[in-house]
Amino acid sequence: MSAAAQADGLFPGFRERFTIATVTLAALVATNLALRPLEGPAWEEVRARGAGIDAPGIESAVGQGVVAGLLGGFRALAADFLWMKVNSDWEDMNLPATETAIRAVTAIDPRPLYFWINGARMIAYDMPNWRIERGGGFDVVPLSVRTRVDEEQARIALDMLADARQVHPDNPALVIEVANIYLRRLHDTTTAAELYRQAAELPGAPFYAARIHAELLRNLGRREEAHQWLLRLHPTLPRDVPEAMPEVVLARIREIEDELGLPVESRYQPANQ
Amino acid sequence: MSAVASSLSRVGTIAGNTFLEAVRQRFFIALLVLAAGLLASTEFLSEFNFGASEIKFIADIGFGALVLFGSVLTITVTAQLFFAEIESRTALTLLAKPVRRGEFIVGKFLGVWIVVLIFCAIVTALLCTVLAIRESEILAADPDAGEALVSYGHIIAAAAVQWVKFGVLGAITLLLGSFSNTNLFSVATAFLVLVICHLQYLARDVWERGGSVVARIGAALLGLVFPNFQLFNLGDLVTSGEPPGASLIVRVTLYGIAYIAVFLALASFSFRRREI
Repeated sequence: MSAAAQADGLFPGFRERFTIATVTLAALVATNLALRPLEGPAWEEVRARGAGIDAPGIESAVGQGVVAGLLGGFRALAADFLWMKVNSDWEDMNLPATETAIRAVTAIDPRPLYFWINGARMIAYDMPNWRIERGGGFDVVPLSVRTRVDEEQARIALDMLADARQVHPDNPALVIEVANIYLRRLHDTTTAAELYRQAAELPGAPFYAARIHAELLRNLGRREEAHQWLLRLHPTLPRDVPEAMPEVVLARIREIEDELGLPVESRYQPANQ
Repeated sequence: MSAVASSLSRVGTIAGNTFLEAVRQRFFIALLVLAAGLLASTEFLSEFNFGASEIKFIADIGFGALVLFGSVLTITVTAQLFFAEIESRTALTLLAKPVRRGEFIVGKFLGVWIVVLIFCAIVTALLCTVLAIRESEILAADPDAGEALVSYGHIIAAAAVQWVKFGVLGAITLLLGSFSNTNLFSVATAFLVLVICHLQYLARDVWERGGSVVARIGAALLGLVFPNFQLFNLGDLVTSGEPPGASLIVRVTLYGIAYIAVFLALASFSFRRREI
């Protein structure tokens, strides 16, 4: 008597169900493999454009109780409701809860820049103050500790913005946000200047990014580089867009030329003058 | 009449009866009202919108309603109508006639799939109406916003792809019903399979990332046995400002149709061996 027949005697219908299960599994595996050439490229395209949430994101979402909205819809709504929790935790200065909720929001819906940028600002600019207050306040906590706290929080925010740049690779707003953190929290003017240059060269960059790059070069004492940058920039600025501020750029060129002591004949002459 | 035409006629009769039974159910109307209510409330829910633009937010809610209520409708109605025939013994009478069990399965499937098509069409039409109203208000307030903020063609295409996914889900429910003894078991298992299919891509991530042997074997099995339902979420792309191309829509549709055929064949195979 075979094993299957013996099992069938003990559990009626076992052989039948075993056959169905085996055939079903084999057919599904064969179908899956046969459809891979069709599905693979399609899934790569869909996933590259933001569909599907990664495993840490799912874990965060489960922890925050919003997983019901993640199976194929309501991502924006779930993220928005969770963002309200971020704000509530932020008001309570609850650092772990705020940071966890920010991570969950950006994992659930990584599409809006708003969550990335405001989340990074909370982490980099607000949370160091909370930690210092908890340590006794600015009068008690030594400068070295305050600097370390600033750096730790800045690094966490920079890591988050690095994730954001994977989702939005050519977005100048994110590069500017990274530059600001280097400038204001890490006091690294050289890196900030380079990042402002990168931002200024991206499509859709705000005009002020190029101006700040030049100002940071000036602050670093690299006036000739700043001068060359502004000379290239000025002719490209539209005259009819107020934000472009070509007159401000020209005034800065003149200031740098004065600082460099350039003779009149070597100074920049705009095309329309 | 040829054998094929005769078979199609029998399938059509079963599908027609299934369709009529399904649309008469209060459950269908209730889900439709819920989906419509959710869509109508987007004006209020927009107050909670922080991240996305309002148009994207409304589209996201619309697709959310379609996916959630569409999945509930597909699983519940498929299981309910299938077991109703078996429990009331009408399946015995039907199958005593020259009706093959495969024809019974396909007829049931088509009847439910048409009901789901009507549900998808109504919800999509409501979504397009809500979007059109809001779009005209935005354009009237800000003429510089552009000529059109919404690609209605892509919204309809994304909804059609969801309908194909519901077809796969309905076929899976029929496969489960073909060997299970109770309606409740089929419904509960189908919802579990729905979740697994939506998270199937994570199993593949585990497989690609490596890890323990047990985790990799488990991930490989999940990745190989279940279809990838996240692939059908083209609504996310529509609202991201980068609408899906025609080739992507065609590939995903073919993927869904292939799975529908396989699950229906397996359901017929399993149902043929069932004692009623």
